[in-house]
This record gives sequence, C-alpha cells and structure tokens, in this order.
Amino acid sequence: MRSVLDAGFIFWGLFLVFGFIVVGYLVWMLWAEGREASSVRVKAQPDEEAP
Amino acid sequence: MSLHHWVFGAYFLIVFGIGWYSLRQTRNETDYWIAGGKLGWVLGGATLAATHTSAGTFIGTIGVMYTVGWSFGWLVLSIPLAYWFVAAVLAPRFTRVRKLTLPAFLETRYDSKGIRGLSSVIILVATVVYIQAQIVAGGLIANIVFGVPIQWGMIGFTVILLAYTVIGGMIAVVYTDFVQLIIMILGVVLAVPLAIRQVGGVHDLFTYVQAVNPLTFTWEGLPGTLLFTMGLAFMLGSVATPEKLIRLYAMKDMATIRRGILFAILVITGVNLLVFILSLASIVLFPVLPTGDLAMPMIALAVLPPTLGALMLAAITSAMMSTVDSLLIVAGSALSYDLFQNLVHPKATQRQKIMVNRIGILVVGCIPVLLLLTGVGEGELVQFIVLLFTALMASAFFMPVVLGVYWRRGTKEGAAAAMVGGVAATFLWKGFGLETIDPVLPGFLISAVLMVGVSLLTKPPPEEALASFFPRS
Repeated sequence: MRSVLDAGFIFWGLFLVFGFIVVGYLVWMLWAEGREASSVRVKAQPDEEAP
Repeated sequence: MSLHHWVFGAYFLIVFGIGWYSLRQTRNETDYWIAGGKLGWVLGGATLAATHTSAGTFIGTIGVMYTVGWSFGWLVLSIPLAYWFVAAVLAPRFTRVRKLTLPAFLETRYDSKGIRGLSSVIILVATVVYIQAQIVAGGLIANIVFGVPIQWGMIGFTVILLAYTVIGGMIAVVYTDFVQLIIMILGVVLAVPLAIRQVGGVHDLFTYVQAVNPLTFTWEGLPGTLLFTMGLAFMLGSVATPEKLIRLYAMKDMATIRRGILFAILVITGVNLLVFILSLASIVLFPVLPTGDLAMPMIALAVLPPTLGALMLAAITSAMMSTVDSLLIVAGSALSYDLFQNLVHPKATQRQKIMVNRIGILVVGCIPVLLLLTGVGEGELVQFIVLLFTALMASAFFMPVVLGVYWRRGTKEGAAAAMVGGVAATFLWKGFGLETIDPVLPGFLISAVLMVGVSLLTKPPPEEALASFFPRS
C-alpha cells in the first residue's frame, strides 16, 4: 500500500477522480429518475381522478 | 491442434451461432439497423462498451503508456465525462425522433437530403479506412495464433466478421458484442494478478517501474497541451461518432440509456485501468521492447499460462471484432440505407431493402481488405488514419448534432459548412500544424465557427422540421 502511495497523486489520484465521477453520475441518475417519476405522476393525476 | 486453436475455434463457433440466431430474429429494417430499438440497459451498455473498446485499448494504449508513462492514463477520464454529457445533455433531445441512422437524423433535423448524402459520404470514407486499420491488426493476431501469412489472416478475419454481420445485422452485433465484452473483461481481470505476481508483488512492481523508467509517474511524458487536446479529442469523439450515437436509438427509453451508459462507463474505464496496470508490469518484464505495441502480445505469450494467454489473445481479437462489426453496420447503412435507398431507389419493398442492406455491408466489408491486398493503406498510413478517425468524426458531427437539438437557428447550410470545414481543418492541421496540439482542436473550433456563422447568415429551417425537436409546451 505504501508503495502505491509513494507513486504519487498521478497514480492513485486517477482512481480517486474516477470514483468521484462515478458517484456523481450515480447521484445525477437517481435525481433524473426521481424527477421523471414525479413528472409522470403529475401528468397521470387527471386520468386517475376521471370517473 | 494447440490450445490456442481450440479457444479460437470455440469463440468463432459461438459468434457464428449468434449470427444464425439473429437472422431468424430480423424481420424488418428497424431490427436490422437498431435491433428493433428495444434493447435493455445490460445489452445496450455492453454493446456501447464493446464498441468503444477496440484493439487500440489492448495494443495501442498499453504501447503508448509503456513509452510515455502514467500521465497518458488521465486521458481515460474524458470517457466517463463524455458519456455523462451524452446521457444528460444530448440523448434526451436526440432520441425525441427515433431514426435508424445518424444521416437520417441530420436529414430530419435540417430538412435536407443533401445533408444526409454529405454526412453519409464522410462516414463511409472515414469508416472504411478505419476498418482497414483494424483488419491489419486482425491479420497480425491470426499470424501469431495460427501461423498463417498476415494477408490470409486479414481475409479470414474479414470473412468471419462479414458472415455474422451481413446476415444478422445489429441484433447479431449486439449479442456478439456482449460475448466479446465478457471475454475482454475475463482476459484483463485474470491477467492482472498473474502479471503482478510474475513481477514479485505490488511493492516490487512500483519499485521496479520507478527504477526502470523514472519518468513513469511524472507529468513529463507528454506535453501538457497535447495531453489536454488529446483528452478533448477523446471526449468529443466519444460523443459524436455515429456508431455510438446510433446505440441511443437501439435502447428503448431514456431510463435505459442512463443505466446503460453507467454500465458502459464502469466497464470501459475499468478495463482501461486494468490494462494500464498491465502496462506497468510490461515495463518491468520487457524493459527493452522495440515498440510498445508488442507489450500486450508479449504478456499473452510469455507471461500468462497457455490457457490464459489464449484467452488474452481472444480478448484482443474480441476488442477488434466488436469495434469493426459496429463500423460495418454504420458504413453499410450509409451506403445502402442513406445513399442507395434514399437517393436512388426509395420505393423498394421491405424484403428488397433488407437485401440491399446486406449487400451494402458486404460491399463496405470487402473494400478495406481489397485495398490492403493491392497495397493501398499499408504501413504508417494505417496508424495515421486510426489516430485521425476520432478527430474527424468529432470535427464533422459534434456541432451539427449537438447544436442541431439545442439551437433552433441552426441551418442546413451551417451544418454542411461545419462538416466540410471541420474535416478540412483536421486534415490540414494534421499535415501542416503543430505536433503538440491534436488536430481535433482546430477542427472543432472551425466547425463551431462555421456552424454558427453560416447559420446566422442563411434562412432558418422550416417550422415543420423543428417541431419534433423543439416542441411548444
């Protein structure tokens, strides 16, 4: 582990930044899906109330 | 028969079986070109990842890193950022109208058959020549595995690719991509621990790498401007190449696209990072190779046990085939669907159309190998073309596609000028420009200026053409 850290930020920073990007994408994806689901519910409301 | 023959024999049989299965699943043009537009996120993401991962990842990337060090690895981050841009910005509007090809999208958006013809010709020429470069790599692998002359390897490789792509179209490509992706992942996941063990463990790997090449973990291997502009080329190319855009149409909805792209990001970047580790091992194990491109074949043949070595060679072959079959679909559709059917014979029946589509793929698949056998496109020219392909696609299509779905004022004249200007600027910079700046930067900038400038000077497109992409809410 120490030798990995000794290689410097140029080495382990690449994995770290990639991890941040993946987490960021995941959060954005969940937000986008939540937003889509809520807009579908809003659009569906009049039909649900219709007799 | 050696182990290598058995592994490759089994691999080719599976690929043929998928081609035969796909023939029976293909009923119309939508099936043939975009797999019916019903792919789920696993298959959709897998075909995107397999198409993106080419021989360049397994041979070219490891070769460059072997030579210039770890700084080159940071370019890989442009890939997840580019796909995030696709998922968040481009795909929601690009898929509002589902077409079968990129030129067909451009025709609909800009209300112009000329734009469709022009984009088809650019795709056709660039793609056919790019396939040529990949087929040369296929010939080399066949030479290593089977001991046949490189020319015979190229012919055999082309025949196998055409056999399943012509009959099965996109459905065959998607399923073979899935199998090929599994082989690629297995190859690198199993090879990395064995290569590290061969070196003596993680600690020894880092100690020896720094001893053999002290520049490996520094930013001095590549000039900063080149690193930045190459990253830009990867990013724009990941967004704007037709073989990737068309996969957005193949997936069933936006939720599927978002998940498929997450899957693709994890696999593409993950495979690249593992290949980078292998490149470190190769620096220690083979410190004096004549060219870095030999690093991966040397690991497969001299470091890994025979079974795993055969799997690694199959992984390299898979990477090439999964890219070439997708390019065949793109080039074949440009020739038969966008040029022939659209401009020459628009009233063909469904049966005739599928027949013409198959002939189109057959023709574009034979051209590269025929050119190579007659001596056109050998040597340095091939490498030159591979590096240029991404820059050309990005310079030609990024602006017409992205501004096409975000800027109502974009016109067919602006799009045409952006495509022609972008391609010309890329070629000119490659020939006469600074070597420390990738040609994508001038190509992209010229394309952007022409797209905006010419559009503002010409008549706006008709409202009917815009209605689907810019609905009035």
